[in-house]
Amino acid sequence: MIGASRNGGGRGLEARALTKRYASVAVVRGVDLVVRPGEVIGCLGPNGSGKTTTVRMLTGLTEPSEGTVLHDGRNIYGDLVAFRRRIGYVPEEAHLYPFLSGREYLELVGRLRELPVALLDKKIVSLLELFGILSAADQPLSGYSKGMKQKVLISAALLHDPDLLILDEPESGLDVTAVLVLRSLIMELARRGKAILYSSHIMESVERVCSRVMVLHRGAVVADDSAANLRTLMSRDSLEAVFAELVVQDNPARTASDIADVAAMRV
Amino acid sequence: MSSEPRRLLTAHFLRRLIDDDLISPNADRHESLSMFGAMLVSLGLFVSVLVSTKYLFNPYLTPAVAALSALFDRFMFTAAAMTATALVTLLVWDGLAIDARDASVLGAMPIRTRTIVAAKFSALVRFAAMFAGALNLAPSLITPWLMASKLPLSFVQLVLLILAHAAVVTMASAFGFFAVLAIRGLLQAVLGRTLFTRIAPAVQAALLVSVACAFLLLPVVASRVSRTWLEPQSRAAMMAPPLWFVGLQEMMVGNILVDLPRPRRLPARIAEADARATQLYRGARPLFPSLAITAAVKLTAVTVLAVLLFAWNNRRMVAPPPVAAGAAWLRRAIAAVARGVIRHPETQASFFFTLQAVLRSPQHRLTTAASLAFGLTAGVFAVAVGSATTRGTADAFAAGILAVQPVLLTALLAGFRHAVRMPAELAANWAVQVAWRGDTRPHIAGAKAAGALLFIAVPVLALVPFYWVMFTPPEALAIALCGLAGGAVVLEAIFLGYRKLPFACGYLPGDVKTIGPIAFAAFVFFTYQFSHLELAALRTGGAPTFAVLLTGAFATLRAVDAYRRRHPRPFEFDEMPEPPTQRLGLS
Repeated sequence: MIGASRNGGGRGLEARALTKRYASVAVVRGVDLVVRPGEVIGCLGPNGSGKTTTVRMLTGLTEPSEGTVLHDGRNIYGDLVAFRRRIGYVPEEAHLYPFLSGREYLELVGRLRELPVALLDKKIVSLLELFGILSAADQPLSGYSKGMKQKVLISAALLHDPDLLILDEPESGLDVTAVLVLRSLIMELARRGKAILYSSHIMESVERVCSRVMVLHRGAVVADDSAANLRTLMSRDSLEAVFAELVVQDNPARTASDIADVAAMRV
Repeated sequence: MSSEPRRLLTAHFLRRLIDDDLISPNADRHESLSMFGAMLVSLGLFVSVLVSTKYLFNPYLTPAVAALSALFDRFMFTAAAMTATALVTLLVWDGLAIDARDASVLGAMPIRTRTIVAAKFSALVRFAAMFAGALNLAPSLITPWLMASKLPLSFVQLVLLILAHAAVVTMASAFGFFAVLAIRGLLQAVLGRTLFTRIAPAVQAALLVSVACAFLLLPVVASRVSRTWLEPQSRAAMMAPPLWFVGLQEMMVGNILVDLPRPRRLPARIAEADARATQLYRGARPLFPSLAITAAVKLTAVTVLAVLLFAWNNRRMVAPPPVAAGAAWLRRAIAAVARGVIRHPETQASFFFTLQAVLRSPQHRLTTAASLAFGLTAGVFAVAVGSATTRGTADAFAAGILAVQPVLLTALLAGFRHAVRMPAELAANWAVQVAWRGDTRPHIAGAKAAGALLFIAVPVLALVPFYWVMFTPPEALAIALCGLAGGAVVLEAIFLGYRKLPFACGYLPGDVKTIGPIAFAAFVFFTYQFSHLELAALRTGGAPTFAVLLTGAFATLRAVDAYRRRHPRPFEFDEMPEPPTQRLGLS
């Protein structure tokens, strides 16, 4: 099965009617989602729309109140460990062990993933070099900038060559060059048969790299199609305009003006 | 400028000092603070009543005997206040200066640096004052009252005794707090930020071990105070900071007790004891003025020094430099050796992560330092008990010396077992949880291997020169072998019930009230029996047999452990503790 999946023959990730409630308040409501091998699915939504909760349920870090998550047709909660062997995950917040160096952190993750030592060493050096942080490899993570931490997290997610990548705002803190590299990387990985879920606030990135876009609003899916189809269906010339049509309730220009007025208030 | 920003910043810094040690996702600051405060007050209350029994149950308590006994008690309270406050200050060592987060967040605010620095200092003083208040409140109110309950004391005199006690223990606490602050500030000023950042953890650990040992050895030291330290022209008295404050207290209210009128009809023996006590007390009196002056001068000096150094070191809002990497060749050498010995990748991961967490995470370093301090103190006690035993003097002394090794190893391993339960970094646990392959055994094996290296092999090697001097060289090597085997037995035994993923789960407090006394009794029993068996083995040439027996015990425990872990048991990474109402049986 793993072999099939590595060659793009698996069925990918599927979520059915995912719901998450915290104290009877539903933060995610009936989300259906399919990410097939070779696909990059974009997940868009305003703050508090339930993107991160959805992503955490898809990784198995948060248990859904209702609904199922299937990977290659199997419920991930049947064997969560087997599922996690095959995913790479970049979380929204770059929480790392501050007392480890970048190299030590990747060694820890690689060893936990049971990678052979020689291969692990080679991969760590190559990834850190390609991301441009090899010179800081032996410095503690507590001294890393946000972008450097993000590069370590992306490297850690790729170390074991996963079938499925779940990226929650991976561009956070990255410089322009690194963002361009990341976009190309995602497209390259998709070409090699990886299933990728890409959650982001940056429309341009989503439009460029994703084959399909899912828009979440108040915990529910309000659109799920290719960016081009969404533009056609909504008669808009950009994904940003589609997004504004779907989830933006107020006039942004008027809200901005109101904010500026509040900032300018005097006694 | 308005005092509002300073007030807000003080509250912010104070909350940070208290919040910094969160180790559980479910930790509640109010509950933790209430528990800690209640523990301090009740401890003070208990000790006050305990030390007062000698006044309450002495049918012939005379003023001079009370005054002489009070010296001993005042030393203990003063020293406890000083060392306990210093210990708590050491626990928040990293929070004793403006840190990187403060510099990055507050540095951009339109607030003067001196306002931020003043707020930080004010928060530190309040933090220490809160602790000192909770610690000293009960003893200040109760001890003088119980001490003088059988003496003809007026109300005003009693109030004076209470006020003097409160003032002196508060000053002693202030001395402990400012001394730590001054040491830290001095090192930072002299070494510069970069070098200081590198050595700060080692300095903190060394100070913590020293102060904790001093705190734990207080009862032993205090018993010698009135006998030897307060003799006229005593140099020892001038060397002991708590005694300076005892001298100050005696200068303030010492005459109240000793000059009280004696009952007219005292039995001859009691009158004689009172006369002897009066003579002893008056003999020590010439020392009090110089002790009091020393206390006042040194407290003022250390306070001024701490304030100046704090202001100097924080004069600019500069984030501390990142800690530079250590010796790469050493890390590579250890890694190469470990890879040769430990083959399983997950065990390797756990082994290295354990070494890194225990040596670098502030929480875990503190746990290690505390267990080392306890082990060293218990070792000193063991030797002292061995020296004081009159029967079979040579053997008892040798057993006391031999007990140092098992005592130290057991204390360190118990601390390690506790450290393993604490998360290395709560927010970063997700990384281990996501990469975990479903079997805890390789992780626990890796943690145990690291524990064996750090807390068995290293201390045993460090003790070899000591035993080389105290015994013959072959005996020292035999003792080292027994130490290695005995340590391995203890390590296996204390991990038998451990079921979670080391360093990667939320902390769930154990039932200390139930397990604590049992664990302590087991500790005393094991170390006592071990040292006596080891001595017998050394005397009869049976050390190899003893080592083989220990190895057999180790192998048996390993087999039991493997059997118990043959099926993986489910566990929760972030287990929720029972709510307080549940624990108290209210719901």
